[in-house]
Amino acid sequence: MFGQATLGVLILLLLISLPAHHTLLLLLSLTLLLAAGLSLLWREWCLRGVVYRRRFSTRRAAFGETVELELEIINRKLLPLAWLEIEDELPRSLPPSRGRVYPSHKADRALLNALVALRPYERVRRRYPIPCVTRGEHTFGPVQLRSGDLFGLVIREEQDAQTDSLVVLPRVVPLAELGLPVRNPLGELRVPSWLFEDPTRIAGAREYRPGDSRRRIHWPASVRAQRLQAKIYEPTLSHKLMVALNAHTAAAWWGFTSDAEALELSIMAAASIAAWAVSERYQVGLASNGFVASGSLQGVFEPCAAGRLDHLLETLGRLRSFAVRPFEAVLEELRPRLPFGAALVVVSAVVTPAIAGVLAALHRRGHPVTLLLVGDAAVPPGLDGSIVVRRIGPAAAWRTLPALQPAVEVGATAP
Amino acid sequence: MVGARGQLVRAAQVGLALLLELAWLFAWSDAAGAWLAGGGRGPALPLSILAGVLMGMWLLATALLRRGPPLGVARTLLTVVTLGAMVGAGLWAAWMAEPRALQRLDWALLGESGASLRAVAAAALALGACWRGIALARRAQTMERAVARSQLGAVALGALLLLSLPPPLRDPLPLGTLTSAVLLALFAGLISLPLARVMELSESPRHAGAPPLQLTGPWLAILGGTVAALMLGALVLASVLTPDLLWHLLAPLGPVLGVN
Repeated sequence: MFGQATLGVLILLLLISLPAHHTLLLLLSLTLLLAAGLSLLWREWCLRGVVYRRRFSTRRAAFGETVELELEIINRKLLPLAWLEIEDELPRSLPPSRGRVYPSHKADRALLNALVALRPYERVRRRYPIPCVTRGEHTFGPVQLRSGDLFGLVIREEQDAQTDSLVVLPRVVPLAELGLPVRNPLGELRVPSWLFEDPTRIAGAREYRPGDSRRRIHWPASVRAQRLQAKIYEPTLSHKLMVALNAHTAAAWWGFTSDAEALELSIMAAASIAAWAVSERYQVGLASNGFVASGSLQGVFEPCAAGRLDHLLETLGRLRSFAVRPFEAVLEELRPRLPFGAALVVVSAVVTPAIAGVLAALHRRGHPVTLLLVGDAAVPPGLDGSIVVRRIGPAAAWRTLPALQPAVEVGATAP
Repeated sequence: MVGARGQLVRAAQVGLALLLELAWLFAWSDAAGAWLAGGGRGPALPLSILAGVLMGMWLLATALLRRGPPLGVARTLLTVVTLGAMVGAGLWAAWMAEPRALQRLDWALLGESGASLRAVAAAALALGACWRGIALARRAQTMERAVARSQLGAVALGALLLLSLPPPLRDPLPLGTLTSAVLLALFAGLISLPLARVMELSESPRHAGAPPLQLTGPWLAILGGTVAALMLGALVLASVLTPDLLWHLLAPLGPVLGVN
């Protein structure tokens, strides 16, 4: 309305009305000129002091959990805002269950729109429940803020580049739900020999021998047997478990994954194995050729440690859908870093001869190895009879677990 | 914006639009009446008739739009009613100016007494009122339409005031009515713009299902207060600003701009 031509005409009217002493014409031109000035000033100031914040009820959510996203908008100035339009970018895979979301021109992104009016120094909060139905590290933002002058004639637009992230952890299920057998779901993972004993894990009882510590006496067993019995502890070395995850689902490791469902099932299986192992008091580690944002381009390596399930699940949750290295290279690198006697569970949707070769070598070094094959990939003949190979799938059924077929045992037993 | 509050804002928008249209139409009617009769005979078309024609046409066009008869039928009906309003207004103006001429169908007397000119002016004003009434009946009061309406009002008033610049044309003008018309038109125009913007945003499909924009009392008070303060400021400035004062104020800028 107040373009340059209009302003020119108004100034001309003002200059005509002054010497002509035409008060009404002066009043008309002055009012419109003042309105134009106010409009321009408002436009300059409208977005100053506007603070936009996102808050999640939790920054790390379990799969299927509903997280509350709170949007807080503050007007930290005296100038009120008749309207403020907010266009916040969020992942298309995590739409809020309330509020309208529109597809963005950017791939896999959506736009959440909100419209508010803000009085001086007013704070407005909007809450949106977000069902976490897609694993990953999800970025929210940047946000586009749009407002204008009081009369709605001019619009100002600014982008707030600040982003926030929400990590949705992978789905964790009991191993039985993956179709794995209830007893020894991953085969025999413990080494037969022991070097050290874990006094917290009692494997059984034997006859008390002179020289045994009095702490070793198994009193309940002694009462039952009517003679002194000593506790047999489980060897500690067998309690280390390394989960190795192949983030690639095709034979060639480069490029993006070709089968997202297979990768999701692989990650879910890895997470479930880690959770099961922690509940069985294993010290669990994780290795993968997958990429984690702000992580190493060498892939992921988390050494075996006790009680770090949350950390492992978060790493698995943040895993992107592409591989940074060949999986066999990660396994090769793992060989010297794997503690003696540690078991290895490999989750992969594809097994190349190179991968099979490294697995066989690891097995020969005394590590119990279990291969969990995701989908319908072929098993290289080199693995037959040497390590336990189990297959889970079909990959597309990872969201609806009952549709998973019972795991098929492909290989022979572990040593 | 939905619900009772939305209906209220929509009604306010229509009310303000009617006020704006009526303000500039009546300013022209009053000025035309003053110029044609040399003062003393009032507006070419009284406020009540002008308002009646404007609102009548708005109601008729709104009803036609809602009922949805064939476009041809609606157009014909609106044309007939507009012509009827023009003829009626013209006859009424002529009757009020010189009833004897109309009784005797004395065209010479009509011309001499100036009644014919008043009749033409009244018919033109009735046409304007019909046009604005029909234009207002469009259902969506968008920002674009609100801006166009305000611009038309400002241009109409500006043109009228420019025409009245020479003293012979300015002297007979009823200043009180004109001042009221200008102030009313400005107030209605400036208030209707933000309402149109807010309604347009609220009803945009992008915000469907989202919490509605709240046009609360404080917000309306801020809006009304700002517009009132703006107009008051303009009134004060208009009353104190003279060419001498302006030159005096701009004098310090002379050396900077290189003007002596």
